Amino acid sequence: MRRRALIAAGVAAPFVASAQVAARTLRFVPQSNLASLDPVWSTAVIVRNHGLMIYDMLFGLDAALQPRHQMAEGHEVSADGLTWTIGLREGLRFHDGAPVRSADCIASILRWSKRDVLGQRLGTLLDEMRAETKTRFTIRLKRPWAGLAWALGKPSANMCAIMPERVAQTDPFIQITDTTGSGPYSFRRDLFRPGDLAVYERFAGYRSREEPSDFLAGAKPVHFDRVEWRVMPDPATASAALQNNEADWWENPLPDLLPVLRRHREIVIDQVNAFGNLGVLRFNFLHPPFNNPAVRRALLPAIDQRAFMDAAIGTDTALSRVPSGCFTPGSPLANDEGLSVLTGPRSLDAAKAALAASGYRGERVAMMSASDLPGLQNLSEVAADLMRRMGFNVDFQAMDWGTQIQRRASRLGVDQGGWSAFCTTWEGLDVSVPGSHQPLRGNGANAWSGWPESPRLEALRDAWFEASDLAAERAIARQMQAIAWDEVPFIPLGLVLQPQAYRRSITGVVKGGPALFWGVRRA
Amino acid sequence: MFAYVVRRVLATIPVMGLVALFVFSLLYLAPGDPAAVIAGDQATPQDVERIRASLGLDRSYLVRFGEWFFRILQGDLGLSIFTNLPVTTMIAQRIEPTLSLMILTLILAISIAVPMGVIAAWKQGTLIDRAVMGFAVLGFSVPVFVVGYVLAYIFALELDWLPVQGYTPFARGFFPWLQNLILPSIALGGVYIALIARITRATMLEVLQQDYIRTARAKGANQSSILFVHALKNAAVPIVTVIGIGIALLIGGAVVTESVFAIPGLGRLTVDAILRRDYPVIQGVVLLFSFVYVLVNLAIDLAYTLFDPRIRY
Repeated sequence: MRRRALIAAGVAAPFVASAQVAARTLRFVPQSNLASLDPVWSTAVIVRNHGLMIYDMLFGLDAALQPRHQMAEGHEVSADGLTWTIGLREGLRFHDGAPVRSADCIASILRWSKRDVLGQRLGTLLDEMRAETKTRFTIRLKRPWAGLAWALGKPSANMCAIMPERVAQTDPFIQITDTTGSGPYSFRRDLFRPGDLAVYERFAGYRSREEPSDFLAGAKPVHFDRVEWRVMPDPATASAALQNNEADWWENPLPDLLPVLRRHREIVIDQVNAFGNLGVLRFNFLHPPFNNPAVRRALLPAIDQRAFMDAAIGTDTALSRVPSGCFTPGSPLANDEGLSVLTGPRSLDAAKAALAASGYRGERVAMMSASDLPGLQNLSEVAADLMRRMGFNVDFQAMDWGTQIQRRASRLGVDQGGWSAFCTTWEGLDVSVPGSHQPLRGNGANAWSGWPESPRLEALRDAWFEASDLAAERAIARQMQAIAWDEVPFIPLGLVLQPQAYRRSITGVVKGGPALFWGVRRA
Repeated sequence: MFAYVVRRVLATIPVMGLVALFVFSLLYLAPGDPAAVIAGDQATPQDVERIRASLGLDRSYLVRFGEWFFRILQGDLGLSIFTNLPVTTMIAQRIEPTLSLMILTLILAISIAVPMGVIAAWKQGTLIDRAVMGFAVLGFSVPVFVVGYVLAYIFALELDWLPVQGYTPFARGFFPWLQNLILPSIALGGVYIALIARITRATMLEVLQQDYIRTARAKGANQSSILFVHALKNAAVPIVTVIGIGIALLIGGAVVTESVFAIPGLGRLTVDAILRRDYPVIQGVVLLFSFVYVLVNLAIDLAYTLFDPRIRY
């Protein structure tokens, strides 16, 4: 009997060990393929998510989007607001075991400041950065900037990832090759198969904060030894893998598949990212017909944000948020200034009349649509249909996303291969503040595709950087939104709230933004 | 024979040169800009230009082609624009799943389709013949991804016999390897089975009318010997030709099958690279596929001599 038990134990041992290893591994299906590994070089959301795994930041935003100390032990701002002194926590280490020093932070900030839009703001305001001690450094500004902590802690692309100095000295326009990070997970570059698998392992040397986890702030306790990102390009396959217990967590389930997943008793559908993605209808200001503000304004009475959201994410109203103004609904600067242009009674007749009075002469509207991204394609279809019904001469042009990105950089007229309008989405965190709100910029030739010129919007954006408190920021945001209804640099189409799906055995998912891998555990 | 093989292998060099020129030119002319993809929406036009310059995309067509072609001659396919990994490394990572899928599909298809075609020809006009032809029409008509989804639903989700997705390397055991590949091979093999079964039937029908078959029957040869030894060997040349041509079908079908079953093969690598405009990867993979196809054609030409002794090179 004893011998039989011994044999049974011997046979079972490898399976038990394998099951234990599996239990300590989280199988995650990310939203897309992780193609690059440098969150400063690339602006892709997936690369930023990778960055949050392996890099820590000096500050971290909490769920209310307020910056809190993360790698920083604390900071002081001089009375004139020009000198920021930041002290690092004791015991911080990189994945190679080296301590995190002031020099690493300075090099990381400098590299980030060449690529990120708020970083570039720092670049223009920066007088000097100097290491006072190994764990204390100062940032000297030419003018005060209260939003510096927010900029250093914001997770939207590009994030200010703290890298070793030798890595951060890489030209910001060239991708890093060394993935030594400072975050709670280390990256197994040797196991990396782009388009298939990315493996992260718990970094035993990570020193977590003591406070409770709060989005990107507070403690980052890791309960899995290993996290595997398994890329599944086909949504039906990802759905089946989750149902069949071949995956634990799927970041972006297709709306069409949500009913199937909801019916599965082992799967939870959860709204993890409250800031979602803002749908945007963007115009080309350089050429007719949308170089005429009256033509752009003519669309407003007919815009039905609910119709756009239904097309983008389905008819479940919990998966979208309308009305949406220019700033992310639910974020501190969201406001209702002039929002009645989108919330009042919708009227196609009023829109037609406004278009007739605008001086529109039937010019061709080249509406671009990214056919390989269903959400964007659906937004474009609704916009094109609305324009046709209003009487626009719409030329609907479907193309893949890669082509659209290049095409929309073209400033030529429609007849020379240019464009008139397109729909896209912006990550809610980006469009929650004027500093990184590209659709709301009016800097002409240097603006985001469409190139609107609006000195009023630019002046208010500059004023936001100088705002002393939240009340002042809110006042500026209201003024910007009022101008937006007049100049119409873009039209907000509603906030898409993409849910996530995970096995019921997964608990402790950190809410706020993208999928985060601290706090989460297997029950 | 040896001289012929050497001549054919040497003849692949100008073919590959032309393919290289074609692929490079096509990508050069195609719309899309990896620098714009990398730079993202926050970037200024100056940022995009700097990235383009750092990737060497701002140089002239001739300079870029010359550099790329010179590297290819040295066996260097360059670095991926996005992952910064050597294209050869990325291909090496992905070649096993694709090869496994294609080989298993090939074995499955030939071992099912050839007997099906032979039996259909033998039983011409009967219910069996009609069933085989009906299956062939179905195989041609139903897209690979539909077959894939149906198989995954039945055998993975409902019966829980096989995994939905993924790939286990052969080194980790034959059965785990096979487990992941059964459904994709069946899905991918459908159209291939249909193609081979139809051509086998048609060729066998022709051969079975020949005088030597009547002679064999008169000599008292049994039916299976007549079908599989006398007739099939003489019908083999067109069948082998179709099998070779079908490799192109497999390459195309592998792209879809690998996506449906999340197999990390060359097909998915190609699609990902095309969507991102990762030029070095696209060029490398297309060159590889072309080279494989040229080699397959050579192998088929050589196989003719095995089935028909009258053919000499």
